[in-house]
Amino acid sequence: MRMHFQIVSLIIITVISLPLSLCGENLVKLLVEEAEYELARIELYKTYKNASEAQKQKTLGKIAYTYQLGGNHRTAKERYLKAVQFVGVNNQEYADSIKWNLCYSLLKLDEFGEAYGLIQSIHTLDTTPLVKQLGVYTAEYRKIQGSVKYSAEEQYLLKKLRADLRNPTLSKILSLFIPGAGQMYSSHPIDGLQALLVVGAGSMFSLVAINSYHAGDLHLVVPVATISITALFHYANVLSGHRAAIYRNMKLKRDFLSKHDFGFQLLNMIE
Amino acid sequence: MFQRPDVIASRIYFLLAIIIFSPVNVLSQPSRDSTTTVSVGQADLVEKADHFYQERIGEKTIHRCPFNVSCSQFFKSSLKKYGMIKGLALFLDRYFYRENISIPSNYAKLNKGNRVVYEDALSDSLLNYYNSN
Repeated sequence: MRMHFQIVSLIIITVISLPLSLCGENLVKLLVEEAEYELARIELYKTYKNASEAQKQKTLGKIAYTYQLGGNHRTAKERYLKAVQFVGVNNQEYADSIKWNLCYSLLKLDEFGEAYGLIQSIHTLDTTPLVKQLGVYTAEYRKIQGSVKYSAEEQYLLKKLRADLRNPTLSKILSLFIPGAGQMYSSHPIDGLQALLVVGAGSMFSLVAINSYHAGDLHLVVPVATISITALFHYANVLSGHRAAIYRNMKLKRDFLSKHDFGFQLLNMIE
Repeated sequence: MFQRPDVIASRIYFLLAIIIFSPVNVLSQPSRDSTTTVSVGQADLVEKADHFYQERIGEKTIHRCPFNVSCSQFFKSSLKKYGMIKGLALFLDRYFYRENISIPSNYAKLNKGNRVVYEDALSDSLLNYYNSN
């Protein structure tokens, strides 16, 4: 009886899974459309395992694409790099489409130098949208922007963006001399106020401790400790000034790109 | 009316200590190469304390941390990456200066399970980009 049940179950499973295995590619497409990237990846890995060398190249690109859609750009980068190595020299168009998507992940990972180098090696696609995106991410570095022709409106917007950006080094220097000034310059006023209060309070305590030490009321350890702790908080404030400018710049750039993507889109690797 | 010279000298010493301390520490930091990790012999005790916190207390307080990588994990990784002084200073920056009501307007939002957290990680490549410009 139990044996019969197992056989019937096996037949049912086979009947259900047969159309799925036959539709293979369509299933992956469907899963990607439904944002079920992990399930799509399982299907793709099954294909990858049994595929020929030529098929493996394409499957690896698709696997990388699912990672990319899921927001895992680090793994997507690794898979795309492997896929690029696989692709033969006679398949330049496919290699370029992989590079195109890889550039997107590199930009998301803030690896601008690598992205710039990779863009130079794309020959069969118009890389203008990519270079424009890179130009926004590296708005402080004018050389890249000079290599692409922006429209008058884009130039105006980029100029406006550049004017809004803050200089992290200047922010750091401001915080070094006036605690919290760098954060305020970088539009993080509450952070700046907190830094000013903490470092200010630490300085006051230190002054009181030094005076008390000179009056003979306190041991040397107390002023040394308060000065050391205040100095550490002041150092944290200097680092904070530097980072606040970077946070502001990155936020401005991301907001800018969410409004103006220059027609940049990921290439669909599943089709 | 006039302060004693030794008091004035100590105040000058105090100001100098603050001004000198920061650049000296910046200079004493390790290379910014992303693959470099710092020996943290001196930070072992702190790291153990942090580990203890994560094991025993962290789970009860994690819901209060507004950032994507929890503060204790951030502390641990910055100690490993930048050494005792800079690692500690970065943690102080996050814990004392940046954790406030302006977080939603300053950082990118991220859904983590049933919680909304904010992304404040700066990649090595981004820091390198800013340091080279």
